[in-house]
Amino acid sequence: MESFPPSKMALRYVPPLTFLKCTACGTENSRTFKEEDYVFKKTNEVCPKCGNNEMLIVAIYVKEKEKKTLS
Amino acid sequence: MKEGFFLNQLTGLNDTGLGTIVWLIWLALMMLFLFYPTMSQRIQLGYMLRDLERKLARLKLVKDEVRDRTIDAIKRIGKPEKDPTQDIDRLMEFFVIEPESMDPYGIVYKLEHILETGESKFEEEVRKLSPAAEEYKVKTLANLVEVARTTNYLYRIVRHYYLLGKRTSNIYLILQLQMLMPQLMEMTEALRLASYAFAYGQPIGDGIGVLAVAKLAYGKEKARYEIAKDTTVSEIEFENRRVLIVRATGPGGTVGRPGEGVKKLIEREGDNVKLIITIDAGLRLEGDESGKMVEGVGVAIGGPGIDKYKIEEIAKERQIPLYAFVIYESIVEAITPMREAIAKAADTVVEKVKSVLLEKVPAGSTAIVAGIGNTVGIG
Repeated sequence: MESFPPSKMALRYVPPLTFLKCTACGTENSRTFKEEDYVFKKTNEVCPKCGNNEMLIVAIYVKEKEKKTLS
Repeated sequence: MKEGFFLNQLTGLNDTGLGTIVWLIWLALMMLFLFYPTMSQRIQLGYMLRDLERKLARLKLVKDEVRDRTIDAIKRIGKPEKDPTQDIDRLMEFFVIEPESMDPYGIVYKLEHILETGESKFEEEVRKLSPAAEEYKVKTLANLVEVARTTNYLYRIVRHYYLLGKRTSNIYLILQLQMLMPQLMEMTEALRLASYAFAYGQPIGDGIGVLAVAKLAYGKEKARYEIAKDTTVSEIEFENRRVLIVRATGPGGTVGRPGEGVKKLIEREGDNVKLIITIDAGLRLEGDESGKMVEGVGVAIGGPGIDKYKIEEIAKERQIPLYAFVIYESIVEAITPMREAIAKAADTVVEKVKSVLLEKVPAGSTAIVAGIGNTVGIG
């Protein structure tokens, strides 16, 4: 009676993404996670749309792979 | 009659050299199993022990990887003066002894005292190893050391039963261990990923309760203060109702003391509190969808039961209804970096909490909403 071999049970580490929202125009942006990030942190990053230099981190999570739908 | 006719009748084989050899081998094996009946069991035991040995090797690999990651994180964030390796190894063997339960009266408060002592001692040790780390990062590092301690303990337990079964050739012991191995391996792999989350301060699935209440409170706070150790209250106004939001203080890794927080709030507010809502992550069954929100009655809090006991006790005393919202996730998702489906469930929870507040809390009165979970990566 053999259970699954250890190599098949290993989970791959997928780093999360940081989602930011401009406090001026509301544009949402995402980038790879940095160590100092936390949700509801105000950063000095520049908004790609309006150039405002304050963006709020609204979410940090691992993006799921899009499920392919059969057409 | 042909010579050897009866022998051929007995064996059912033609009189060829190969046939005779095969038949003799078969006969020898039969005699072996006849005179040595436990041989098949020994073969099976050897097979299971080899399988366990491979899994144990993997457990050791994960344990060492998490240990190394912990040491690196402490060096990187805490910048200790001397090498923390020995101290980390010592902390990995740290233990807490549960109180005696022969006489269970008062055991909740005894357990609380022991756990608080253990927690503060553990944090103090990690703080000494990380002089340059900010307070909230010390808490996250303490969680990381805790993960390392758990992987070490899992490895030691499996090794103990493996060696015991091997030494005593006890197939039943090995069989029981092998039956549990898939769950133990899954847990170990989850802890390995959890070590990444705590090493870099990433939100985990268990923080969904905290995330939901933080979203409810964000931008509407009238007051914010600490009610208990590592526990914050945010006061907001919602449709002429006063809502007291209790959660662990982020962005460090802590669960706070929501039970103590809710108890103190009710003692302070008196009869004005009309509803207590708790929001937490809950284990889903296989086949359930992760991130699905379900509602129920009671106190949605995990852990040893101290916080749950305190909230239940005071709610019963003041006859305050208890509502609970649980977000389904697996044990792996609870301690690994938060997944998209779970993060997006926070918005659903916020809308549902608002509708319950409108429905069940009269205007002018107060409700308490407690977000339960580890607040790592959530400010």
